[in-house]
Amino acid sequence: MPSQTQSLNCPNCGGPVRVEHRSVRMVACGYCAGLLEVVPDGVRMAGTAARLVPLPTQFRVGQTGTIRGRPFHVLGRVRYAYDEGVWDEWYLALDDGQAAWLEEDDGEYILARPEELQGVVPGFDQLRIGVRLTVNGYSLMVTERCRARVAGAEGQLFSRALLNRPVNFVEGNAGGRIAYLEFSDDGVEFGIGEPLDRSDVRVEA
Amino acid sequence: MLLRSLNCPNCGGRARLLRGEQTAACLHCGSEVKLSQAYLEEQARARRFPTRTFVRLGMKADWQGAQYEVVGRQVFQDPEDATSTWEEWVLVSETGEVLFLEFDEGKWKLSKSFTPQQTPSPDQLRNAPPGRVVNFGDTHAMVTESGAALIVHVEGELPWLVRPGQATGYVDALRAGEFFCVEWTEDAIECYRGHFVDQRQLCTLFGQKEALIALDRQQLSHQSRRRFGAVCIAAGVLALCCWIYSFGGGQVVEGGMGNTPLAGVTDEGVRFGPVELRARDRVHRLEIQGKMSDDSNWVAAVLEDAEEQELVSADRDMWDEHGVDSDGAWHESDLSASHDFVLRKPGQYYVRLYAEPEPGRTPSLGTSGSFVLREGVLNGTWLGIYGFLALVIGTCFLLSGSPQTVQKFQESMASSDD
Repeated sequence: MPSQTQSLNCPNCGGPVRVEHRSVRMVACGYCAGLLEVVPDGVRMAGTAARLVPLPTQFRVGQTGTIRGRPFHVLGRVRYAYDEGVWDEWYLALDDGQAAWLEEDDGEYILARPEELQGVVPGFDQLRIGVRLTVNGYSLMVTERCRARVAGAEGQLFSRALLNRPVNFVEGNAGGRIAYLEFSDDGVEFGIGEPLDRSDVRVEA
Repeated sequence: MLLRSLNCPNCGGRARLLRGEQTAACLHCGSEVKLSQAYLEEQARARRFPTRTFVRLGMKADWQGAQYEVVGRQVFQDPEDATSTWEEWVLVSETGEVLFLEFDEGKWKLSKSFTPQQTPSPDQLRNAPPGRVVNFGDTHAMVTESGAALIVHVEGELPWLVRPGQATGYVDALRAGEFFCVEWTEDAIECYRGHFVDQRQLCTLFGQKEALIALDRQQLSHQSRRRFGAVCIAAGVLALCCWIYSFGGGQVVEGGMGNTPLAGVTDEGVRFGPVELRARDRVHRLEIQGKMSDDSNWVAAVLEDAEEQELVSADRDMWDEHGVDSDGAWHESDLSASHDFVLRKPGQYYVRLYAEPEPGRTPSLGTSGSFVLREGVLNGTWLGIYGFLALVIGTCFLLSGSPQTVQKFQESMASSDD
């Protein structure tokens, strides 16, 4: 559900681009594959978005549907690559005006919402598998860590999804919920997510 | 590169690969399609690790309303035992959902990734011998196996990067038929849950109608074998019971008993009778019994007709011995014999008892011989043979109709050997 809609033009090709949510920071032009950064007075060229190799999925940019009965609208997607493969993060605008991302990794879905990180967390290198820590009140154990890079993006994005931008991820189990720490040149970002069953997600054709 | 996606770069048609060849020929335009080194290596490994199952890359499967395709296969090996290998097929749905179909020691397991309420820590996983409980927070399971798995072969188009030579730690656990597996490396702990699938569920999964029909036939055949085996065993038990009963079976014929001291028996014997035998075509038995102590005599009973014609006889060198040795007192004897015959002609018959002492000895006063004539005797010897054969045949059929029972028995024997 767009909370705001702003129609702009790509400075590279002049094609129309839309900004539909206040948290959108970048837009991939659907015509020239230019990657545009959202600035106060419009958009400016920031780089090139790589074309994404299609993988089996039921989502696409612009798609609407429901998650556990709540409507959503797919704004964009970032694909991350790491040593053992790739995963996609679909950026969603939810009906309450909030933004979330839906991680799709090997067919598993996790719906995550960003939270402002409170306090200080150990560095990426200290967060080995099995390490226990408390972040934003969530007690978690590190279950996965990887050094990734942005492999491509499309649509409207919340993060600075510049091609090949390195991002280190740490994932932990917080009582059945999944906590994320994302280490990049922008600092550390935190999010908390919930695993979804396939039956939780309904997409409209 | 997967064989099914081996397309000609010239016309896009399907290319055909002959075993052992370094190039493939396009079936449509005849162009030579060069194969990548990675593909050739994959083919070489595939020959080293051929599948033991009917599953093949590209096969379609229906699971819970979604269609999946078999996209890849991984073969694992126990790093400490190169002969211990198992394989895992990777199935991906049209919407990207991933299922794992594992074949290990003749059993199939279907599983998928899940996020438990509590992920076991690496320390817990490293110290999880069989029998220990793994806690997943909202559920727990008992460890059945733990160790390391070395990936020795990968083929197809897996959704992630896997290289032969990679090793992962694993813990397998069970809870009420549900199967759990935790795999871990330096960078990730992954949890999977699923269940065992039998041959029928597997054929249904892959829509193997012919295999299902064959399975039905096989089950019918097994059922028939089990039924036949059960009937044979029941008949065998009955025959053996009759055989046991036949030791004292039949009824004594009226007047069909006689007893005489052996000391008074002359060369002509002692004649008893007449005895009226009426039961035509029934098995009769002529039994002789000796009564003696520290003595030895040949005793015989002969059935004769009215013309003193010998018809059947039963005889035995009977003896009875006592003694004392280092183990104490002992007593051994052989004092009975019998002969079964079928009465063809009812009428009056006689029994003549003969006796002859061991050369140089005379029968003592208490030594006597007796006979008994019985009718309606079961033919015990053949019943015993038939009963035993029926038991053996029945057991064979019962076992051949219960392959799972045999397998469980072999597994339990193997585990007890371990």
